[in-house]
Amino acid sequence: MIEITAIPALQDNYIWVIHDNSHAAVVDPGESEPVLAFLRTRNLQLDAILCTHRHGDHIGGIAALREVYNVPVYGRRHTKNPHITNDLYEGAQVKLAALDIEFDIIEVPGHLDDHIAFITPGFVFCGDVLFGGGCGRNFEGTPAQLHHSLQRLAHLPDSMRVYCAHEYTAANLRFALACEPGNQALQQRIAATQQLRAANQPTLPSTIALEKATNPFLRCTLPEIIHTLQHRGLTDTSELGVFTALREWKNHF
Amino acid sequence: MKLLAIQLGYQKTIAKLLVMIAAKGVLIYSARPFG
Repeated sequence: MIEITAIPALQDNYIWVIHDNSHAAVVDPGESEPVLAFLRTRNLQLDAILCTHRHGDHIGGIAALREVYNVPVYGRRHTKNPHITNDLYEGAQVKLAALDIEFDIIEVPGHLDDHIAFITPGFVFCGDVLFGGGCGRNFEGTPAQLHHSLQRLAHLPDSMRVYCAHEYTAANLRFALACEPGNQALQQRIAATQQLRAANQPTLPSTIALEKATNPFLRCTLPEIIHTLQHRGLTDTSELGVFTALREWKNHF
Repeated sequence: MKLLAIQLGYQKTIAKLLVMIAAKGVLIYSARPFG
C-alpha cells in the first residue's frame, strides 16, 4: 500500500516521500538530512528522486542523497540543475517499478520556464506552480503561461490530491479572503487550516476541487473577484487580465 | 511619523530586493518568496 509522507524542510518546504513498506521515492529534496533520517527510521530503500524544478530549496539535498543512494534523478536538465539523470519533457512517463507507480509528465511554465509536474491517477506533485489557496510567483515567462499552467492543473479530476511544495496555505487564504470575502467554502477552509496549523499539521495535500472552490487564481471569472479588483482600479476584466492583476496584487500583499 | 515612514519604505525596498534575489536563485530569504 502506497503512502505519501510530508517531511518538513528548510523554512516552509515539504519534501514528499512516496513509499510502501520497503521502497521509497522522494520529491524535491531541498535537504538531505531529514530524508535520510526518515528512510533510516522506516528502513526504506530509496529508488528515485523526482524534481519539479531547479530552485535550490528543491534540489539542495540531491547530491548528498546520491552519495548514499545512487538512484536516478528525474526532472528537467538545466545548467543550474546538473543532478538530473533522466531528462523529462511534456508527454514523458516515469515508471517506478518497485512502487508500481507510473507518472505522466506535463510542462507547467510560469514559475520557472522549465517547471514540470508529475501526475499519476489520484495525485499530482506540482512543485511551486499551484499552492494551497495560491500560486507560484511568476519569476520566468509570462502571466499567460502561468495562467495556462494553472488551468491545465485545474482540469485534472476534482478528486485528485494536490501535493504542493510549500506550506503557504494560511497566508494565501488571507489573500483569497481579501479577494472574495463572501466565499463560504473559503471561510470554511480558513477555519480548517487554522486548526491544522495550530496542531502543527500540514494543510496539504489539497484537492483540485478544493482549489477550484477557494483559490482566487483558479477563479478569475468570478464576479466578486472581478468587482474587488475593479475597486482597486482594474480595467481589463478578461480572465487573463484578472489573473495578472491578482498575481501583481499578491506580490505585494 | 516621518522616521517611521522612511523606515517602512526601506523595509519594503529590502523585501522587494530579497524577492528579486530569490528569483535569480542566489539567496532565499523572505516570508514567502516563491508564492
